[in-house]
Amino acid sequence: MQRRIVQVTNRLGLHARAAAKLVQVANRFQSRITLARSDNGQTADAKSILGVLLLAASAGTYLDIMASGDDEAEAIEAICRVIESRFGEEGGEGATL
Amino acid sequence: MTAKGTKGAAFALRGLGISPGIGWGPAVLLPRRGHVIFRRQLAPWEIESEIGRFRNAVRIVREQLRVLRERMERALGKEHAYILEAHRLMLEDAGILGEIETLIRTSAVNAEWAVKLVTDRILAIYAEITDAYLRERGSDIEDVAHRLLAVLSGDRPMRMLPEGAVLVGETLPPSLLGELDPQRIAGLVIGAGGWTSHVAILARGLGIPAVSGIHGASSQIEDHALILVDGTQGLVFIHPSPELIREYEERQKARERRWSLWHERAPLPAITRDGVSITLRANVERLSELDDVRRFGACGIGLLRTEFLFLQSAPELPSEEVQWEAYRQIAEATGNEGAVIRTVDWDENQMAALGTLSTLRDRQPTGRGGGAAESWIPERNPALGLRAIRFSLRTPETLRTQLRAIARAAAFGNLRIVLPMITHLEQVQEVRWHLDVICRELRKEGYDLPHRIPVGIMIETPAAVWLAEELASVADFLSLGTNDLIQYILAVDRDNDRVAHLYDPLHPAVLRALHSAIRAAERAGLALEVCGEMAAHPLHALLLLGLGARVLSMRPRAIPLIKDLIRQCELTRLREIAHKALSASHSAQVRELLLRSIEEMRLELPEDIPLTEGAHSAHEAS
Repeated sequence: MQRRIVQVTNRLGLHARAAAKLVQVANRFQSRITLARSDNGQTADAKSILGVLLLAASAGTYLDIMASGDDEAEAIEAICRVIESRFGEEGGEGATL
Repeated sequence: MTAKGTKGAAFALRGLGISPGIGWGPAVLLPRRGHVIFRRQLAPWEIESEIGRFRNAVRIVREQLRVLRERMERALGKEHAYILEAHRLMLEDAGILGEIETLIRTSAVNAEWAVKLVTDRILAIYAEITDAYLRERGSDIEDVAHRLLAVLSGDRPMRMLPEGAVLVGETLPPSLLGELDPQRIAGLVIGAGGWTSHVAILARGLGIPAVSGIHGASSQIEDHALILVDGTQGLVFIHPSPELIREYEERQKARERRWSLWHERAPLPAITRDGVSITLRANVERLSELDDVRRFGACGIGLLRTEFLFLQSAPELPSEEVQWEAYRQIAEATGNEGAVIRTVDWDENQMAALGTLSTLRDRQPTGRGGGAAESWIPERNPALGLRAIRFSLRTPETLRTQLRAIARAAAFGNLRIVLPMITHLEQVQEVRWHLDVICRELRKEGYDLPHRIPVGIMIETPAAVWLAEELASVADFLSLGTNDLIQYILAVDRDNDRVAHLYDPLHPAVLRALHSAIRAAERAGLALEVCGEMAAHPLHALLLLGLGARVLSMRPRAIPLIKDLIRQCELTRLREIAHKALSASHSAQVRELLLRSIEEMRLELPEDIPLTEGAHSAHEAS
């Protein structure tokens, strides 16, 4: 199992669009991927958009990401990258869902 | 009111009968707001096909979202389109889909119901989220659920309605009732809504027995319980005994016998015993009622309510072509006898509820509130707000579209226009100006129009009563809309059942206003029609005739009874009665006078018509 902690830094947190991107990335891998909020321990399957949305991880939240499976290393790398890149919302602006 | 009985125990509730007749069937509970979704219990062998139906709906919505996303990507770029990807992913979320399917399987319920329960649960979790922005995203879930429900119900949320259903709820939006297949509804039991509320008018037009004033009906009546609705007496029986049903069946038969007698007499003219001819016309609020106009012996249409066209096309506004087609059908169906078309009569709150308001705003960014539908604030007092002619003049395009459609259809029959809620002379002149411009335009475009399209005025505000003589000078005819007139004269909201008892057509102030308007029309030599609910009530109709009205327009089903009464009366006698009524100081005197006169004139009235309660009205067969 691979495990890494990453901070949600985009201004609006894991809103619907960001969650959609995260789930799409997770779906590319075989591994089972779980997200857990470091502050309250709430967990979600990274391949379930509802689960990710209901985490309600706002900006500043730390997420504990766990992946296990054949491609766990690549999976955790990709998930962290999409979160750290602020889901492509440059400057955190323009997300007016 | 009786407390909720144990399951299966019989009990009765008393309310206000707002649409006469009797019906019974299984209760179908309506939710308080939002999408109307019914729970339907499935037989074991229906479960698999229900799951198939659900999966199919999911597939269709996914496809809809894919197409929408592509379109949005082209228009706004990839980033914005991502929201639809979130929606699509929800429809691939094994957790959500699995939960819905499990619910269909284990509880043996229809897919709509399962979608609703799961969505509600998710929304409840969302409501707990502290971050305001993320909490708001619950609307995405709702959005997806609405799409699913729309597909599942084929855009007709009531298709799942069981045969002979009795709808039970706090209110029933008229738009919803308009969508229903009236053949499937045996009755209505609602919490709020008086005799002249829109739902009541619609129910009577459709011949659906209805009782209102049963507050908390949905908590007292369980889904699927057998309900008997007696809309004539305002009674609701839950789990009625077989004896009671038999008794009601007997009464129903007697009613049908009387009805067939009236039917035979339908072609007879409405002439009083002293030879005065009265014209009875029909109020119509949907095209399907056109058959009734002839069937019940109406002489054309005295009032066509055009709101149905706006309901049907909401949130878009009905196009000129759609309206033209409807008006043309009406013109052809009514021939020489003709039809009076009222320009749309609704208020901002009703339009906002249908989404039409935001459509208008989008189209007219310069309008009030500028483009943003969100900035709309419900009117505190819609009865005194931007409604009826005020609304039409505020959005000239709406008015112009409607006038163009009417003018073009007028070539196919004898159409007239009537303007609702006139308070100012200028309003009439403004509409006339628009109509003149439109007729010139249409002729230039090559349309064949009649020489002149008559324009009438609804007298339904105190201002219009006092100004009746002046209004008569700019109008081709006057039309007394008693429902609103009474509401405005007595300052009573007829849909607010805490004050509805003050709404009284026999109030002396009302009678004097009616008299004054009728006199003004006589002096100006103009035709005057009465087209409110009063015309359909036996006591009130006699009084209207005595006051000088010669044309009454009412829902078609009420015509046979009123005609039968007219043929038994002498107008000279009715005049004397009306004269006395005008000097009464309270309505009890008027009511007593009328009841006594009916006895003296030996009028034959069906015994089950409640005459004494002001709000009740004529007996009708279903």
